Amino acid sequence: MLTKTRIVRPIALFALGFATIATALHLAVGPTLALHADMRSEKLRLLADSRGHATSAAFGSSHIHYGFDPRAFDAALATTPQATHTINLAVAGGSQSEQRALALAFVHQLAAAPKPQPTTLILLELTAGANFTREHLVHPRAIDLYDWPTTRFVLHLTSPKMSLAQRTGRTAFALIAFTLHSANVGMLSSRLFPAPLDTNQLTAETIADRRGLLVEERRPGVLDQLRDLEQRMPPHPTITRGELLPGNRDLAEELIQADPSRSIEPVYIILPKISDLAHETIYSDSLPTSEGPIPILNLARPDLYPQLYAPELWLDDAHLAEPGARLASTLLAQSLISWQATHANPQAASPQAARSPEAGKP
Amino acid sequence: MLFVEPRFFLFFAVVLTVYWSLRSNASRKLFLLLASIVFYSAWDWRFCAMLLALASADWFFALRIAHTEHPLTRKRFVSASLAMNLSVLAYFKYAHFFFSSTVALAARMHLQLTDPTLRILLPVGISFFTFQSLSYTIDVYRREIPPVPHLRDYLMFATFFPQLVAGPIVRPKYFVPQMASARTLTPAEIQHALYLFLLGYIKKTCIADNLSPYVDRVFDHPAPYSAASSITAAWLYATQIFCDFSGYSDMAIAVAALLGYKLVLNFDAPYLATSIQDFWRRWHISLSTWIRDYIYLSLGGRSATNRLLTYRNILLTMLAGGLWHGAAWTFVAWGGLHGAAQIIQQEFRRAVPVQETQDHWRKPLGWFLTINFVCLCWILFRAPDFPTALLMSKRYLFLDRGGTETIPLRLAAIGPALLCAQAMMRRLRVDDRICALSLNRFALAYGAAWALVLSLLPLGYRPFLYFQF
Repeated sequence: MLTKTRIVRPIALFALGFATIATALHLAVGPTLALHADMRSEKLRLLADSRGHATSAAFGSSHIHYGFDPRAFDAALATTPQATHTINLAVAGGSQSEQRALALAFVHQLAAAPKPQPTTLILLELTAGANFTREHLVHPRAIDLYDWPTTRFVLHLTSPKMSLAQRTGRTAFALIAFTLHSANVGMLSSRLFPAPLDTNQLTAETIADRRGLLVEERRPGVLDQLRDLEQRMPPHPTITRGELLPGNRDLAEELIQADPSRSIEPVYIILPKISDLAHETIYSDSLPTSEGPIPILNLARPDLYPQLYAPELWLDDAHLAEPGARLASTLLAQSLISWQATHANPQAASPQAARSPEAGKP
Repeated sequence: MLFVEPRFFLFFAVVLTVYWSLRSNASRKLFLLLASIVFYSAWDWRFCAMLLALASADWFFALRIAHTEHPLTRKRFVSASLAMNLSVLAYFKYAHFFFSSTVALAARMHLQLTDPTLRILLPVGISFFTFQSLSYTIDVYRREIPPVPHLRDYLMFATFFPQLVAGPIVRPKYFVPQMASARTLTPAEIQHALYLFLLGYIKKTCIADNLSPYVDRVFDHPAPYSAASSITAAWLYATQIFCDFSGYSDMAIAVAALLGYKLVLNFDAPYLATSIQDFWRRWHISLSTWIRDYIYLSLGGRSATNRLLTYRNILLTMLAGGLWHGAAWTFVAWGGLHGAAQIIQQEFRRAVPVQETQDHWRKPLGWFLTINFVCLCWILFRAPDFPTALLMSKRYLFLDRGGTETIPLRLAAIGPALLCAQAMMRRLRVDDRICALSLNRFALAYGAAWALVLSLLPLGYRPFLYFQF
């Protein structure tokens, strides 16, 4: 039979064999963001196709994927000095980790462009989940992302104010995903047997110059359900103050520093949900960073934007339909103009110019 | 709970630790019974109760058969066992098929019948455990084995979790004697079991599951695909079904071996067969020997005087084998084609007797015809209906050029490459060499192999194909 001393050495050798091949494979596989990962792959194609055109982009989860219309946003900014050509790179089911990866990919693509770009807006969803859902843990969307910088970023998205369960869950997800990433789970398979892009999805997101906006038909009966839901809402919502996490600041700073030669302007945005009518979360209007204050544009405020809560504007209780996306994106642009006007210093009238060491500090 | 899921690894680690820490054989057997109940309950605990009830009844019937010499009483109890197991199988697996076929037949005769909407859940592995339980009572009836005296032991045999849901079908005369004494394991046996588990894992996840999307794409909507893509898809399916099922069998044998029990070999390089008869000696061996022993021989087997009688028995046996695989006429037709091929082969051998001097052309030709016939039949096996099977078969035989859509044709090389690798591994006796490695070298290679395997996982577990049978 095996004795304790005879078993230690084989286990160590097993680990050595595993680590050696895993390291070699990791080098061989190359950039893992390029591996197929469902809807993210279609968005990366959109990003590649937008090379040389897009000057701004929105990132985040399904709230942005369904709720941000680049056409309306650009139209509202067209008459300002900050005219943009925006694309929607949010992915349904997305997370802060995925938002970071796509935003960095966008900035790196800009950095590689030969012609200098005008000021670039990076619209980030403040309230996207830190990680993916549990079902997506053993999935390329998570595994291919969680290198150590991503894991460290997610670890900075916790705070002592969170419940122990939430903190533990966030940390555990990130560490498990990092382990799976380090073990290259599924990566070679993705290289050898690449799944095709979903051409229907790609067409749906690019037809009529949608630039990544996901449009779906509302299911029958949902409109009545939404009307009923709104009627059952309390007359005044409970109000809580939302917390800004170190990771939010890290991401904004990382994006700005990724290409110091260009004017990268991160903007945190929050789009509404029907449940805001019952529970409203308010945030300060800017996030202080070492690069200056970052705007926080919160549209999830029924007291300020009651027009966004008309049931006809919604696909379901969490996502805007196309007319809702149009209105929300116009309001976002107006809100940004207004933020710039109120935060502008005498030297300039843009958020980046407003970034002085003192500006926006609490 | 699938063998490839992380939760199975956790479950099995606990089972192994507790099992080998128990001293007495009786407590180990009881623990294995409990572990099997937990394993099966992971799907549905209600069916676990049914499984235990069926097994207990068969144990009782077998005891009654053994304790009486009265032929009529013996026959009554074995008939009761047959009726019980086959009724359960018929209800859960074939009720819907029976009703829908009756309604379709009536419609052809211009009679209008309403198809009752049946909502019957299929218990996982029902075809396996009913056949295994049946073989026990029949063997006791035939006086080939004594009955198992202790209910706990019989339940452990009937529910033994490594092979419970997808085989290999274990025969009591092979397994029950192993339960008599406490099992032991040598380091060499552990090495062999670990190697076999890894091999099965590679077949199932790295090969079968990675090929599955391409196969599904063509078989689900074959019309727009080119003939070359259809042929590629048929070859890929042949590879997928072999790797899926033999991979499961390898893992089942390995898991059982780590508990000290030996299970029978279930696959013996079937795609290297040089005739259909040879194929069935190598493919799903535990099922083909089961249907040979309990259906073919019960029908009379090979008749010395009447060739037609032999052919009838072959055909009926293969039709039953086809129906065992699934409640659809495509499966029955698949079994029928294999039966017909065996009859034609026997007739051909009568007309052109085998001579040793013909080996140099007869064997390669036999292999070529066999592998292509098997692939052609797999089309029928995989296709959702006859029109799809007909379309795919026409393309396989170059009778239809098909459309313009394609799947990567380089995938067509996977099947032949794996076949060559299998032939090489058998010739070089790779498994013996791996098991002859020192423990340290084996551990180093094993770690390296797992790193490669994890990178080849397809992400998204697909259930084993044979679970549906």
